[in-house]
Amino acid sequence: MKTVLANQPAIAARPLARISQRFLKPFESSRGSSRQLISRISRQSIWLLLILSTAVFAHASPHFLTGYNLSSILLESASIGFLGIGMTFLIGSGNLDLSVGSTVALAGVLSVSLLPYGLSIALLVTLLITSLVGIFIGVLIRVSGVPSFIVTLAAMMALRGLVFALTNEQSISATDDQFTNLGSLSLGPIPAIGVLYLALTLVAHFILTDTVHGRNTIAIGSNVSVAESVGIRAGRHIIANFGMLGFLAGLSGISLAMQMGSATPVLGKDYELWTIAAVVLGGTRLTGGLATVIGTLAGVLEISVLQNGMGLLNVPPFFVYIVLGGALIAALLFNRPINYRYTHSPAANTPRL
Amino acid sequence: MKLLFADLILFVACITSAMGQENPSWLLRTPLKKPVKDLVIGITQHNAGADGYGSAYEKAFRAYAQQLGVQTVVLDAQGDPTKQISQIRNLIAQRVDAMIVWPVSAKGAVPLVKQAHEAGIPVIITNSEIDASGVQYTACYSGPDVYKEGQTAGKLLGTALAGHGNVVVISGLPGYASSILREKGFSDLIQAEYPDIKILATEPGNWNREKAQSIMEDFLTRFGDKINGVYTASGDMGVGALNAIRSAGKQPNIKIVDAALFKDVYDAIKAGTYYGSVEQSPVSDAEGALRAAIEVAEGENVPKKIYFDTPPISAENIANVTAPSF
Repeated sequence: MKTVLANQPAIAARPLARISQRFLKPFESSRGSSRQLISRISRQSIWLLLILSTAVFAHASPHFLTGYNLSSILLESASIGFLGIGMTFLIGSGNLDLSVGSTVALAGVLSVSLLPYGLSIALLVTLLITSLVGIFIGVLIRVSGVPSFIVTLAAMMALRGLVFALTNEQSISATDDQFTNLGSLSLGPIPAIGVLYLALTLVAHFILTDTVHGRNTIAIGSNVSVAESVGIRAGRHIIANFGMLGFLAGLSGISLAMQMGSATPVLGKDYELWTIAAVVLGGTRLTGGLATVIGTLAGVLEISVLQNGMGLLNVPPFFVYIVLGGALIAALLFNRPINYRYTHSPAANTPRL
Repeated sequence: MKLLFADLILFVACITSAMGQENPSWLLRTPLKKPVKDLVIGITQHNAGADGYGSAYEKAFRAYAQQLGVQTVVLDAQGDPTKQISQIRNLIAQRVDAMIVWPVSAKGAVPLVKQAHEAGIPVIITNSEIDASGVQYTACYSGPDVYKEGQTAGKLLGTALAGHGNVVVISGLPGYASSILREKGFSDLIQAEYPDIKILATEPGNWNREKAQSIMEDFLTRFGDKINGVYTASGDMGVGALNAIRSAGKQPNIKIVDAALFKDVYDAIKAGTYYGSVEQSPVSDAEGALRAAIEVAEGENVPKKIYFDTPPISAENIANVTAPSF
């Protein structure tokens, strides 16, 4: 697992230094820096937690480790997982988006109601609109200078209201069977939506770690003014990240609507909270400057495993919230070395040039 | 020796009573596929925590399951259709012997009910019906006959007005089957049996007491003293109408009838300020669904639609009715 650190964009300017840095990386922890060792372990703690909870549920329920159940876990991960990918970039750049749940509902409702114009048109137009919604939110944040928390809170309410108005508070049914069939499509035993999610995670991991956009995103999250002073155009990257999250929220809404063959105005309720929880559990720093898509994958899977496993054990649903809340607090405490190392010392926030 | 004999009698008596408990008398099929105590019945409810009917239903369901000795997996979708599909997946993964679905979204549940059917797990729909496209994948529907509830309310109001007068109607949430059918049952019956009763207007009250109250206020301004009776699709909305009529000072002149008894309506009928209602018991609802699920799991043939009795309630018989808990 590779995590992008704040000092990488500067290194990117010098390919040689970057290569040597990458080459030396495996030896870092063996050099004996205890701080680095702690942060390495703590960044992987979510994987340990995931393995632990899988083992516990496998032991407790004979139905947990069955092909059907594992593929349902993956399928159910995908809807929050799509959002988690985009949210990782956004939180990595020091922003937050609370409107994703409403965008999911908008996407579900749009895709189903546009079906009479043809399947591909419905899907393309929906994705286009949700991407534009994301871009619009990003522009609004840059132009107004109001924190993303407030702007996206407003967007969350406005979009949810819009969805209720569009649907007249009712669920709408897909008129095209192909749409529903796509939702239950599977590649061998693995649901296609889950495969798409895993593939997108890999692509996003590559974008975050190995492209200028990814590294600049992290630099912006680490310190906007420093990033801008070295010539990074923060606005572009932030708007692009909002656009990307809008696109992914579109995918999430479409995939949910496909699974139900219909869309309801309450689709994606609380998804923003689950998504942020998954990203933070995964080890991305909530204040930006440190992000990992692979960690988010583990966070998303952990949430799904907990929900699924506790469901199989017949545990009342509110316990899932209690356990997840506890896990989140534990993750934050455990990640303290990562979360506060940079923010506490101003010198460390400056990329080494 | 005598003691031993007495013990033996006691022992046999215990066994037979235990057997009686294990096999409910309505379970006619012999031999059973599985002893009833080995059955696992799953249920995903609409929203047990949020409304009184739902919590009374769950309580009755658990109590009846315990009485019959059947194992259950009781889940609650909390009004969230996506949570419900994940719960249906969960019940498929657990390979329950039969599952009961109280659809949050009549259409949204169809693909997963189909999946359960294909996995060989029979599905029983409870309380409100699934979309017509999904009926082929279900074993049966068990619940109230909402159309008949509308008709029963129509009969009550017809009697109250002695076949003459003008009525206004407050329906439920547009698009909901129970709202549409309760309204249709009422207006069909009035048309067929009481030609001298005229329906002045119909407005949706969205199952909401406050909304129903403001609609009734509008009706009173629009029609004034022309209104002789009111029909609302639920008791909660009936109470809203009653409040509006009271504030307008028309209380003894306008008869109110609804299609689903609530606690406040029960009290109002007893107090004589409200004409009548239709009892839909969550206990009958829950027990009917569990019984159907057990019958289906044991391989018995059941009718495609199983309705429980929803009797009319008015001042005449209110003394024999237990007050609803919601």
